[in-house]
Amino acid sequence: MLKPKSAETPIAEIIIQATNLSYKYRGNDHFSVHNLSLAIKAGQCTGIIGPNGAGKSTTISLLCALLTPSDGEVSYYPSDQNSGLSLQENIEQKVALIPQEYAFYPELTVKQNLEYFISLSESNREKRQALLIQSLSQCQLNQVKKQKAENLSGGYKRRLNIAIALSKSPDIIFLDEPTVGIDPVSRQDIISLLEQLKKQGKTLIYTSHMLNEVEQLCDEVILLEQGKAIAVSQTSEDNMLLSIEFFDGQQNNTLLTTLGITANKEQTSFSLKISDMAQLQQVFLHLSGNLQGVKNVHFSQNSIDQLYFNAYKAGTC
Amino acid sequence: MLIQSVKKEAIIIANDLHSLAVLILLPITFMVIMTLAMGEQQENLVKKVNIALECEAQCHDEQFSALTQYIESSGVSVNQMDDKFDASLVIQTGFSENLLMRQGLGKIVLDFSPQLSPQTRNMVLALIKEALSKLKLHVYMQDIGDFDEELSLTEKVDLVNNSASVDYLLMQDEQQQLFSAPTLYSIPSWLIFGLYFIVLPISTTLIKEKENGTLLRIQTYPISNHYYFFNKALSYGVVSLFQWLLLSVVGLLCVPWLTDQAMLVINNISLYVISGGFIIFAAIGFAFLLASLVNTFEQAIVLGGGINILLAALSGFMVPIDIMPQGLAKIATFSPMYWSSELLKQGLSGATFTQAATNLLLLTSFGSICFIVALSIFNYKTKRLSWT
Repeated sequence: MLKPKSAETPIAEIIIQATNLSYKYRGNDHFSVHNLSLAIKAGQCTGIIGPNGAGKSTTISLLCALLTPSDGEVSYYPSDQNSGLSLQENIEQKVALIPQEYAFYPELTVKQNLEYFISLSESNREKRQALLIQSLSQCQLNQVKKQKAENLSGGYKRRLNIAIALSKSPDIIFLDEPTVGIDPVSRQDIISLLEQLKKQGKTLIYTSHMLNEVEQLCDEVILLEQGKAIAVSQTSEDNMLLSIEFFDGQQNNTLLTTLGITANKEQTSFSLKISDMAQLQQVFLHLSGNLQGVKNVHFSQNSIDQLYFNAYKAGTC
Repeated sequence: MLIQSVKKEAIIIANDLHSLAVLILLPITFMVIMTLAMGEQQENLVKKVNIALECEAQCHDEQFSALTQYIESSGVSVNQMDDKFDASLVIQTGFSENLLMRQGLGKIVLDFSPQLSPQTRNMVLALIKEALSKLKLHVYMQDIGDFDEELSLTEKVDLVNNSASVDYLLMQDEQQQLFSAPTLYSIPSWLIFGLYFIVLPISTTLIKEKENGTLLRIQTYPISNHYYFFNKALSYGVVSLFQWLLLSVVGLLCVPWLTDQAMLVINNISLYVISGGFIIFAAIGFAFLLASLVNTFEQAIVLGGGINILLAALSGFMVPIDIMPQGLAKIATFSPMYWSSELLKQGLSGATFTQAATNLLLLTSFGSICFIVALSIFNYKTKRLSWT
């Protein structure tokens, strides 16, 4: 189930803003991404999901400036107009990628791999050493640091893939299926590591077909189909639904009015979308004192799977 | 970053047995084989040739025996017709009568075994002509009474051999002896061949980096494509420098010792050393050009390996240029491998910088063009990388 957020959660700053993004690959007659607008919030994990060919990879490539959009624009820290950093500079300084493949050199040891990648972004020797120590310990790679990367287990390879990204000290991390091909224990370790990163204030943009992982980790999910965002689940509360069923002819108009539901005499069942925890508490307060005529009360929370499959049933996926 | 980059590429190559074989083992093996083959060709080849000598009808005994000895004195073995032979020489009726005449029909039939190579056939033909010339001189001296009557046939043959010798007319200094050493030909050629094979590790590393997302990851680092490209080129330059030093030591010292040939001396050390830098620049540039063109490991092997072997053949590494047809020999002069091996030979033989200037200039221009085109293709391709 999606984790409910506390009512005190502050409004997160938008860190990446994409406006009306479109992209068409050379030779294709259709847009891989079409008129897509989205906002990634700082310190949150945003999942980008969708079936194969939905435009996930193209969207991420556009957000990382690996591709130049045919139309629209991407901006980092849109509220900070005075940073003076270009899109490319922002990406070079703040962004790290964790591809699905093991994007390192198998012939090198864990330490040599990290040393090489750190040398690409940091010239100061002491800082390089500090980054090496930090990323080794953060990803619990100290015990295998002298092992060749090709001899590591799948779980350690995944950790090294992440450690290389972290060795750049990024604010924003793009992850593509970071747990694919590993055992459940290692997978949970990786998820815990990513949750730690979130707690440290890192912004994660996560693509995966493992919807349970997306659900576990992400604060916001964007469902893509044919290059368009067809559903955005901004918070878990968005997916909460209250259904009330009355006995025939015993409709409780007072309760309905209190809850803000427009009454219809012919209806016996009503539903109410709950937007946050505060509203949920209010609803329970009203219900506890006024259950006259009520036959059944059902409370449900949509999972990402439901979001995905509802979209599928609706013919959009 | 450069140190880390050099370290990384060196470790990758050291861990790749195929690269080590191609960069070190293959050229050394070729150096040894080709030096042995060429040494054999120049010194011992004729000793292996057996000629069957026979008279079709009645032969003049002394002439037949003398001809046998003249042929044998050139190193070729003469046997009877019923033995295994590489060539047969049948003297027909009327040979003795026609020997001192300048005209008339041929009286000797020379046949070669199909297994004998064209080069050996030509060599044997030249030796038989020389033996016949000596026999003609022999008969002439006999006719004019130059031989003492008490001289045996062998003594007469020795006398003719000495009279016909022209070795005293030729001056052979050390330089000339160096030029005729097979090592001067085989060592620079196969050293260059090995250096140009750096294309395989460069191609495979670039393909791997593209396929496993490393290149994509690097796109988010604060380094430009140009910087990354030249850093990589410089790293491979260092690897090639090590390869050049190792192959030079093995080629100049070990291979001559192993093949029982004269050791090569570098007569212009500064030119030899500087040539190494220019050759490595051209080889790395060419390798990056090919590596930027290929997209798969199969393409890298076929294009990188294939073009190198083709260039080596065209540059006269496998068949000497002076025995190539004129057209092919002309093409060879447009090959970077040819310029490179010529430059090394110039360093070994003590040529001046002025004499080597053309090859230095050609390699610099070739390397620069290759680097510029390779960088453009690399830039074009990396701009099309996307999250997969």
